[in-house]
Amino acid sequence: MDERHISFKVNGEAYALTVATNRTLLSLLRDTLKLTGTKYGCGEGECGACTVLMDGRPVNACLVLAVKADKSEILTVEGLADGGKLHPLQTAFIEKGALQCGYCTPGMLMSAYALLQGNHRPNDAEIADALAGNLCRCTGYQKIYDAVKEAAKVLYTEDGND
Amino acid sequence: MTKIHAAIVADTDQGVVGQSVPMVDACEKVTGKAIYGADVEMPGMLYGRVLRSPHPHAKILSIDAAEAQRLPGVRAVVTWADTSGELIGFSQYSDHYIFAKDEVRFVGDEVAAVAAVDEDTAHRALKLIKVEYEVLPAVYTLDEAMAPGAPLVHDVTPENIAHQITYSRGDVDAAFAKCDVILEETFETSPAHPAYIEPQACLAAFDAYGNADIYANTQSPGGSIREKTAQVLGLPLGKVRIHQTFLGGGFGGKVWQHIIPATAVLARKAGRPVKMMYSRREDLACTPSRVPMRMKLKMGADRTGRILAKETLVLADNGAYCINSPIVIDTAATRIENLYRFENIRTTAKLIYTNKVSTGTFRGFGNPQGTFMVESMMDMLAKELAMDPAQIRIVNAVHPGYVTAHGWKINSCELEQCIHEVKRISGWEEKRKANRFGYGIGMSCVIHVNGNRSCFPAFDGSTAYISMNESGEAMVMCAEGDLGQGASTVFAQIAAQEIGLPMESVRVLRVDTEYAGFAFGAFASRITVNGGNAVRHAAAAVRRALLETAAGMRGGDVDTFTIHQGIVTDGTGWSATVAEVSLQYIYAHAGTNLRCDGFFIPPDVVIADKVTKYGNISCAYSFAAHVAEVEVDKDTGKVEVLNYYAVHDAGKLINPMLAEGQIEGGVAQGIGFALYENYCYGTDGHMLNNSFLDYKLPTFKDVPKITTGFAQGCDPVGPMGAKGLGEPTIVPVASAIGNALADALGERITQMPFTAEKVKGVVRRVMAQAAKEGQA
Repeated sequence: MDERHISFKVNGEAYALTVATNRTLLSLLRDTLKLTGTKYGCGEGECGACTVLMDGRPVNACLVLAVKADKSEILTVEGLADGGKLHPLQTAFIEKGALQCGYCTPGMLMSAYALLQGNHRPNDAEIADALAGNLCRCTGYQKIYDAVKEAAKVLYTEDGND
Repeated sequence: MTKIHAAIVADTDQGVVGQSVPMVDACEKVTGKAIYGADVEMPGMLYGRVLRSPHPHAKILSIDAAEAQRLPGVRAVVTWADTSGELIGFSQYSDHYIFAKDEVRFVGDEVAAVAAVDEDTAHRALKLIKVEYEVLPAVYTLDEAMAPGAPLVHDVTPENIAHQITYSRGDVDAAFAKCDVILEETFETSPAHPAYIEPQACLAAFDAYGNADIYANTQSPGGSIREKTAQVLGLPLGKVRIHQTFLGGGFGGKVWQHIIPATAVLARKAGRPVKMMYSRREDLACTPSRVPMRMKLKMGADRTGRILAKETLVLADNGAYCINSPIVIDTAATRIENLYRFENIRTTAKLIYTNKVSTGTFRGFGNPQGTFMVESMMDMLAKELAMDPAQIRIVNAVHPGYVTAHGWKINSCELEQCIHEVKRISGWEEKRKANRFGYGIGMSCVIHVNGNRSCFPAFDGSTAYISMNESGEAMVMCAEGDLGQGASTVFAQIAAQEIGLPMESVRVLRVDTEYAGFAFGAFASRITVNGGNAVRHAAAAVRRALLETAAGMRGGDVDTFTIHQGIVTDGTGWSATVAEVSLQYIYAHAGTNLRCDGFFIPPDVVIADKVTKYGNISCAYSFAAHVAEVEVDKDTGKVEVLNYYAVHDAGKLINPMLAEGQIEGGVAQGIGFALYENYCYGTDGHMLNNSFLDYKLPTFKDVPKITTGFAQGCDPVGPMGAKGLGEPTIVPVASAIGNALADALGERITQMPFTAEKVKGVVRRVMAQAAKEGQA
């Protein structure tokens, strides 16, 4: 198997390593870096459980080859909290009951994070558009709308950004 | 260990139960710290893969694994010969092996497994195992399997009938003779998959003494799968230890998991820990779906809408092996007959083997199937009698104190209140006047159990213990576990309230069978009433022991002491923290934590009679009434659920936010079941749509606003008046949508799912008919 040397950042930490060219970013994160917060759900880009941000854009880590992460900055669910302080999205998901088993939650959070970067006040239709690629089998999605809107309020009202 | 029996104290001022507190394990879940099945690792760990049958039915002539074993990196190849060789299955229906012995019966049947240093090597090794098959004729459908002289799926089972029941109550023929209206229809339901987002996963290891140590995303850590694993390994039950990891959903699909014994067999042979996770495609095609059924129903009523007689034939497609399917078909046949005051019934149900993947448990356990049949028929009868569908349900509803045709003793029951409330919140009366082609509104009700005495003959009930640590934290262990829907939070709230602690002083431990008791696990909506009561009893005993310890510290009559928010007082101004009292207890008992057991045995339940199915199988029954509004796209046939309303009788709620979440999730799953989830097979018995691209699950865009409500109720048996809510949420959804669709089209689709293709066919026919009448 071919191997390549890559260097990239995950959650702000720099890595330089050699990976097989057939490895996925999902496998690199989970098996090599032991960042198991990012989940396997289907391996075919259909469920969104492996969603991470690559240079600020949400991607299905199961569909991205690890070598493509060369020179990129990756953000995973483990990088959302600021030290001991949860990100407002994480707090809102907890308080609004926007999760049950929690398996889709890391991917859901990353897609919602990407949405809020570009849209500080999403309505229901915009939330549905942004998160339609993230399957949840537990919640029926209802409380996720509430949580995303609550997080938007906390993020972009209190500090006067909006 | 202290065992103290104490009276349960009704302490209403704590205010923890009944509050929408967040899930106690939510923080682990949102930070990625929660460890699920596939996240567990051990030093020296290998990766497992299963070799599966490419044929729907074949004899295995030989298996040659020599070449696979020689591949560098392969550490073990296992087959049936590496197991105890015993048949496993559901009690007397034991009909299969964890690896096929000499015959395979569906595409995907397990033949062998490999453990290797990495997944690629394991995958390559599978291709090097040479299996010689003699292909046998196969049967795929009920009709093929039941045809005279059909090939047998199991040589020992004539006519492919895996199981059947026939029973009757009252005088059915005389009752039909008295009916003013009698209708007959055949209904069909589809084989939806639980489709939890986390595939089945397991890590197994063996210690130096031959004890199995297993981490698995199972719903039933202490229950049947542990027993089956011991059986496959040929070990006593006590030598199999299962740790319940976090579960990425289960919904009935992780009660019984072949992956657990299969991985354990690999680990034993390899002498190293082995991890295995199914791929999504493997999980969809090779693990049990809901049991699909064809149900022929004849029902008659008098002019007032009172149902007088019911006659039913249920045929169910079992697939290749009996997992829990015999009890699923029994449930489909009997449960719905307890929702209304049926007196004259005659039912036959047959479970038929076919050469497809085994079917089994998925949220509702057969009840969604039976409910689809009867609740569709209720609307048909209402239409025939020009009655409001809500009214015909009220006319026939069971009520508190009623004993049903199956001997179910209806205790708390707010079914009528649910119907009235769902009418109110949905605007039922007004919306029913719409009478516009393409728009419809429909209703359905449900009854469901809170545990089923018939599931495990030896006993029923739950066990839990609570241990007070040095910091005054209550560590709660309930052997039932948590499948992800919030059982831990419910247990924590009950324990906090009963002891008198703030929520943050309660920790719920994950189940490890080495330290937990014996338990069946999370199914049959049994956790809140059974596990919750066990926790409550343990908490009551802990409270009593804390009070006695405090009385010993302070001196005085124990009955003058109370605990509130973690502080013990005696009314004189003296106080001590629960932490101080717990530590005092530990010092006074040579280091022993204050630990109390609690258990709950459901009162007044019996195992249903094997033949007649008569008997009160549960100590509490949950109810609900749902309303769906649909709009049909007349061009494409696509059904859109516009609004959904669900009112449940779950007794007194422990946690309203989690209760709402249960309903919303169950309804969303029901929408998938009703509208599109189905299996497509090729002519060669291969599942064609085993991916999330082709097996469609409801997304954000498919689930409408769901409005939830709760009846005011209080169950005398449930902990703090609560009842279960897991399964009843999905049970009435397909029938509510089916009834709305029939209202929209003026014609009923009796075969699920209600795909755009089927709906478009009806639209075309109805519109052509209308045009013809317009010309005439």
